[in-house]
Amino acid sequence: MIQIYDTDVVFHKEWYALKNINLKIEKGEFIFVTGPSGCGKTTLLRLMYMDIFPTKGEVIVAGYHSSSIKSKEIPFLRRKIGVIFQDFKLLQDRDLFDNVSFALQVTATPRKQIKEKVLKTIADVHLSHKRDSFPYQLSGGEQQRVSIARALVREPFILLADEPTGNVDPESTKQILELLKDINASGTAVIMATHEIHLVKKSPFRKIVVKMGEVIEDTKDNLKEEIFLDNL
Amino acid sequence: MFILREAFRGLSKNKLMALVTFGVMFFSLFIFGLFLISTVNLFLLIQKAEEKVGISAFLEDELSDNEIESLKRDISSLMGVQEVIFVSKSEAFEKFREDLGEDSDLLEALETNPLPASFDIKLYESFKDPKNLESISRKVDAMPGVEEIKYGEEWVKILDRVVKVLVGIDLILGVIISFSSIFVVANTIKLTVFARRKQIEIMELVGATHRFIISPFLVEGVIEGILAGGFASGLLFGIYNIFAARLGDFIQVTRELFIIVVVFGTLLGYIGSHISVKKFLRAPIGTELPKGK
Ligand SMILES: Nc1ncnc2c1ncn2[C@@H]1O[C@H](COP(=O)(O)OP(=O)(O)OP(=O)(O)O)[C@@H](O)[C@H]1O
Ligand SMILES: [Mg+2]
Repeated sequence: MIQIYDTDVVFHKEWYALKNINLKIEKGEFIFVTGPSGCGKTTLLRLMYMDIFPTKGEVIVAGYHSSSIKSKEIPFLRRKIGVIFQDFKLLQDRDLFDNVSFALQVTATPRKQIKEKVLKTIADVHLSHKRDSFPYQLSGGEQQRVSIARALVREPFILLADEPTGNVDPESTKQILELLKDINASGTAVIMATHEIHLVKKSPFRKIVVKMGEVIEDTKDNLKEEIFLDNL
Repeated sequence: MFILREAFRGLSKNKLMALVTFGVMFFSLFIFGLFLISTVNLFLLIQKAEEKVGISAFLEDELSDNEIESLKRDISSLMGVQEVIFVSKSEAFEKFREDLGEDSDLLEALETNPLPASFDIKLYESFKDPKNLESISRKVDAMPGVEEIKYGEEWVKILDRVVKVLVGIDLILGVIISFSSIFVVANTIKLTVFARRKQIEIMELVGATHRFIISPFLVEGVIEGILAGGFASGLLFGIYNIFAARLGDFIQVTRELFIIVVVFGTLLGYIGSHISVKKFLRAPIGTELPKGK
């Protein structure tokens, strides 16, 4: 599903943002990517939605190879991937419903389907009652759930989350983690980057720890431990 | 349709920027229209000047009608000759008298008509250059019965050079005006696109194709271009109507001018938006700098 082979990313000469990365990510996994600030978590995720390309090595996502993907194919790869960020990236001049439907409109989805899918996805993130609100009328946690809805409305096989809880309070953090868990339970793989080690410590899920651009730990296995969220 | 809706949304949400873009386009197109009017008039002038270019062949006095007829046929068969008009001695005298006007009384003193009969030889456009004029003149001059040839060698040479220089300047000016219009308009539109770069970023993120991302901007640009072209040529017509009477038959503004300005406006909007949006495509999405918390 996602494979990364012997991959380096170099932004400036002789400075490795990522070095010799080898990873295999299977369908339906839940993975935390952790490590100190500046270690390369964001860079790793950007490789996966092909926002950047490896300096050396190969990244394969959903059958697209980083070495051979054509510029024209990138939009079609992105349609299979959901991405959310610390800063939500919502359109301030559109309400919640329009922000979510935007992802379907720009890929020319028939109007009837749009309404149905958007309403269902908004319900999934528990925001049906706020469908007419604009981003500035929503809390950080709610805005992040809108961005999750926008990422999910295309039914991606994987959700990439780069510090999704970086800008929200502890209560919302818990809600968002719970939501990500639900999403994963319904079959979507989730990869979440965070430097908040305490979120991850007691987690049963696979952990990839990055330091100075290198993977120093990969637990590989997803332990099943339902108590994880209760202990937050 | 989404693209149209987005285009109108863009225009109405950013009225000030839309107005600025319109203004810049309007100004560019007005200049472009002025240039077109000048070009049309320049070519009109050149055409008028070149109409006068021709060869006069003065004939010996004692030619019979038959000889004149056959001479006319010979000249007509030369390459490049469009028309040969016979001017008899008396016609020449009449014309001379008209040219003199008030002083024509002086002619009464003359007992005989001193003016020779002649042929006015008109040439095809493409033969009105110094080289062809000279070679045709030489051939006519060599024919029996032709006494003298006149075609204003010096004047033709100067006219030829002036025309070449003017047309050259006109062309260069046209290219400069076109490209600087596109440059200025593209840079103005870039501000509009910059204001919406976040929207472009999100479109890239959720998998919109580049064509889809560009389209609303193209529609906006084309709408503004058509409007600006319409208003610019409207103003040109207004100015023309005010000055038309005074300038007489010099200025020629046609309906084609209107169409050309609007078409150029459309192109301006299209190319301008295309250039500006292209600059914002494929911008990195996930680059917030590390927070260091
Ligand atoms: N576009 C870029 N140009 C140059 N250097 C970059 C660029 N993006 C990232 N880097 C560098 O690469 C390294 C890894 O950055 P990255 O953003 O992946 O870290 P991170 O683990 O996500 O950090 P944080 O937890 O603060 O988000 C950093 O040293 C950063 O300065
Ligand atoms: Mg980061």
